This record gives sequence, C-alpha cells and structure tokens, in this order.
Amino acid sequence: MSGVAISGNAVVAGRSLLRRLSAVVRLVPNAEFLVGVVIIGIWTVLIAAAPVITRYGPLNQQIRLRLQPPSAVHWFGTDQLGRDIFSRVCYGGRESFPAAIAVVAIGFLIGVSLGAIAGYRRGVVDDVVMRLTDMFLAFPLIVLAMAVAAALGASLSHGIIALAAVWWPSFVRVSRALVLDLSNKEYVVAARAAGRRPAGILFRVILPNALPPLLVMAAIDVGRAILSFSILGFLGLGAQPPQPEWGAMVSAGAAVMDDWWVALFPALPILTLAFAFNLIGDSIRDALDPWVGGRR
Amino acid sequence: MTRYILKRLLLLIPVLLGMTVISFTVTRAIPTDPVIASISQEASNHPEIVAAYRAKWGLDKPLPMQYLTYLRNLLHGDMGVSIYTHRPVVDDLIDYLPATIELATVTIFFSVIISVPLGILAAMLRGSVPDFVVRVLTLAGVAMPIFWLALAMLDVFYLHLGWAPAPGRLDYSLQPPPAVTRLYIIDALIAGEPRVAWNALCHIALPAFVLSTWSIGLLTRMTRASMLAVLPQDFLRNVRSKGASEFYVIRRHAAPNAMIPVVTVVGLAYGDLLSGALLVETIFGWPGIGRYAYTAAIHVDFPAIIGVALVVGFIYTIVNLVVDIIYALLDPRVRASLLAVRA
Repeated sequence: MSGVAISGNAVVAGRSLLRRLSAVVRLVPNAEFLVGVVIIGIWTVLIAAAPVITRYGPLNQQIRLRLQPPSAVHWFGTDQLGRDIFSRVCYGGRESFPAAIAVVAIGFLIGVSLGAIAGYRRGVVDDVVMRLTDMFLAFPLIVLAMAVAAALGASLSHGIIALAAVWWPSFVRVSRALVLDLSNKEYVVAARAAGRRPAGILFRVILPNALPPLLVMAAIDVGRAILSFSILGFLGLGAQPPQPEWGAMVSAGAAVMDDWWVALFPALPILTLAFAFNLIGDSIRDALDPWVGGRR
Repeated sequence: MTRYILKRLLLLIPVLLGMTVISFTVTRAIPTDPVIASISQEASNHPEIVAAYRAKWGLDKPLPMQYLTYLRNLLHGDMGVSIYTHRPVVDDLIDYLPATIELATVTIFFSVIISVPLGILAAMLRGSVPDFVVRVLTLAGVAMPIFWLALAMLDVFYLHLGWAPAPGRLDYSLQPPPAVTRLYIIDALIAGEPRVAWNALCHIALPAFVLSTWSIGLLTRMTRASMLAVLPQDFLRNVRSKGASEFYVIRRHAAPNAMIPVVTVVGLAYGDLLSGALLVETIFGWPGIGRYAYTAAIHVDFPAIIGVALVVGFIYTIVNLVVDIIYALLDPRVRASLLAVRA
C-alpha cells in the first residue's frame, strides 16, 4: 500500500507544483500584478518582433541624420552616428533580456543546489555552506562581478559569467529555509519510512514542493538582473560596441545629455522592466501574506 | 548583554578569516599568472623583481602556505601594490575611503529622515491617492538605473541651472580642512571653518540625493510594510480604546514596534551604499573607493580591486554586527531571550 503511495509521490508533487503555481496566479488578479505583466508583455513583444517592427537596422548609420529628436520616422530619435534608437533599444533587449534570465538561471541552479543540500543534510555541511554564503553576501557583489568581468575580458558572455558567479547567495538562504521547513512534513517522513534513498527524497519529494516560491523569487529577480547587467554594460564591462546594449547605450548618450533622447530611451526599458518585475513581486508577496492581504 | 556582544565579536573572527579565504581564492582563480596580475607588465620583464615578488608572497610554496603568507602580509597592513597607481593599496584606500564613507553616511541620514515619516504616513493612509503616489515613486526609486539619473541630474542642476557646484568634494579655491576624520564636513567644523563645511555639504548634496533614490525607495517600502503589519494588532486597539490620540498611538506604540525590522534594513542598506556608490562616484568625479575600484577594474588592477572588496566587506560585517546589537537593545523581547539563554 505504502509502496504505491510513495511511487505516486513524484506525480503528486508534480501536480502540486502546478496547483500551487495556479493558486498563486489566482490569488493575484489585482491591478498591480496586471500592470506588471502588461509592461513586461509590451517589451517582450517589441524585443521579439524587433526585425518586423523596426524600419532601420540597429547598426545602420546615417551620419547626415545624426542626433535627430524623436519624430514619426525615428520614434526615439537617432544617436551620434545617425542610428535609429528605437531599433537599437528593441534589438538591445535581445542581449539584455536573455542575459538577465541566464544570470538568474545559473544563480538559481547553484544557489538552490547548495541551499537544498545544506537544509537537508544539516549539521556540518549546513554550517559550512551557510557561513560561506554569509561571507559572499558581505562582499560588495558589483565590485566582485566587475573584477571577474575585467579579468575575463569585457564581453557579453563574460558579463553573464561574472554576474552569475555572485548571484547565487540569496537563493541559498531561501531554498535552505524552505527545505528545512518541508523536511518535517508527513509525506517526507512517510517517504523516509518507506526506505526511499535520501537523494530521492530530496530531489523527488521535497524539491518539487519547494520550487513554486523559488520560481516566483527567480522570476522577480530577473528585474534586478536586468539592472545589474546594464550597470556592467554602462561601465564598459558587458556587451561591446557596436552591439546595442541598454547600459552601454546610456553610457554613449552621456556625452550628449542635451540631446536627452539618446540616453533616456535606452534607460527606459531598464527602469520600466525593473519596475514591472518589482510590482509583480509586491503583489505576490501581498497576496501570500495574511497580515497585509487581510485588510485589502 | 555583554556576553552577547562578546560572543558576536568572537564569531566575527571566522567570518573575517573566511573573507580573506575568498579574496585569496579569487586572486588565485583568475586565469592569469598571479605575478603578472599583481605587478606591472614592465616589472615582470625583470627576473629579479619577479623572484623577489614570488619570495615575498611565497608563490614558490604550496597553496595553503601561500594563503598563510597572504594572511600574514594582510595582517601587517600589506595588500600589495596597485598596478595602476604604483602605490601600496592600503595608502590608496586610506586616501579614498573617507570620501565614500562621507557620501554613504550623508545619504543614509537623508534617506532615513525622508523614508520613515513617508512610510508611516503611507501606511496610515493605505489605499489613498498619497499612498499610491508614494508606492509608485519608491518602486521607481528601487528600479531606477541610477547611472542615467546621475547623468540627467548633473546635466540639469550643474550644466543648465548652475545650482550644483562642479564635481569634486570642494571648490578648487578652497583648501581641504586639516585632516582629523578626513570627512570634510566634520573636519571643517572642527577647524572652525563653517564656510568650508557648507561648501562640502553643497558638493555632496547632489550625489547623495541621486544615491538616495535607491535607499529611500527601499526604506520607505520597508517602513510601510512594517507599519502595515503592526497597525491591525490588538494592543493598538487597546490603546485607542483608552482614548489616546491617533498621533500618540502611532508615535508611542505603533512606530517603535514597526521600526525594529527597519533598523536591520538600514544597516544592510548602508553596506550596499558603500558599493552602490560606485556609479555615482564615477559619474560625479567623487574621489571615493567606488571610483577607485572602477579605475582598478578597467586596468585589471587586482590588488586594488581585492583591497576595495575586503574593506567594504569588512565595514559591511561590522555595521551589521552593530545593527544586530542595536536590534537587541531596541527589542525587549530579544534582549530578554538573550539574557534567559545566557548566550
């Protein structure tokens, strides 16, 4: 009897993952959540459809049309080399957005693995992992990322590696806390009693149940990653010119701040996307927090 | 309480040691010869210089021994020589750190003064238009690409309006006050030169304002959330039912309870401001360790970068320790449990 129940555990856990995710989405039909989704949706469409909706190539230079203010032809104006800024912003997202997701994904994999093992094994392993995480959190991460990026040589992929290398500590703390909490649930005790191997319990029974909040956290983190990635780009340690990248474009606009559109429009997606991801994070947190949500 | 503080101070030792292990590992993990990474290209052409360097840092010995040499040099205040400035990293840090401390401290004071009342007000007026405006603005503050804001502010307030003074810590016509704390505002006041102090304050105002968008956003949101968690609680209804004015209820009962988690976040934010100042310092020409770290990174100047990382990490750890102790002092429940456990 119990054998059947345990082998069904993974299925139950998988189903519970779906149920929890949909529960989270159902909980937050509020305006904030929707505004966040709409902002992210708009940028996603602009970025994905960039070749279709832009009239000029992101690298097309029309020197005679340099520094044109926004107009019906050039929606976001043109830069010092006469390149269409709208086109560059849309194509720039093809660097920044996937890069930010990659940073969070790598950080997630490292952080959740370490956190899950620390929370499950406890004892010395837990102590070592957590102290290591604390020390990393104490270091100025942007300075470390800058150092790694500079040492590897400035490029898009090295920027991703540099940020991912310092991104994992926050995931360790949260995943450890979740695993610690879930380890005491009846179904985990049941799996253990049925003789399931520790690795099986951790990866097939506990982790699937810890994933929904972690995935939400990761999704919200993408906004922060976009911001951090643009900082590396601004400092010249990320994507290199003439590749369009939002941070690097703001940096290029610094020389012509009186032509405000050159620096403003590349900053716009960074601001609005980080804003939208935070908004979604807020609304989910409010929906899940009985104290705050109760008086809504 | 003394025991708690002592225990926390003892626990500091492994944390600081661990940080040196990380910084040591980073310098060894980079895919370049540590000799080339730590002395200049020209110097590495001279075998005797390379040999002397290898001997000093024990590079001819196994890694654990190298670490011990590294630690010994560090404890003697030797972080190596910057490749770019050709000066001992420690001397550079002593020159640049005070500017960053001054900037971060002014910023955190300004942020707390703005954020705490704003957060309390937003929580009391929950759901109203002012609350909505505060929420949107603080969220924008957290999401703001600060490098763009810094450029825009510099353009508007310095180039066009001329309200802000030129970049730097003081006007060129003024002499820095005699160094006591190396924080210009305080040093000028000590030296009895209010004009210099005022000038330093004018210079710090714009970079501090730009830097504070992030910390004001963070602290206001934290204060608001914390107040919202306290406001519906029974003890407040009890105080109100006794006929206390709403102002008294907030000031005497709600706010002190809501401030406890905020204190922790202020500590964390201060640590983040030290490294977050990097962009603002670079754009405003502020001679702090952020700009120093940026210049170092561009020139792949590893001794300097690691020096900055260690110093900021060290300050961050100390600030958080102080905050934890304040936390314990503020919250009678934590204090009581500490005394009960005899931690």
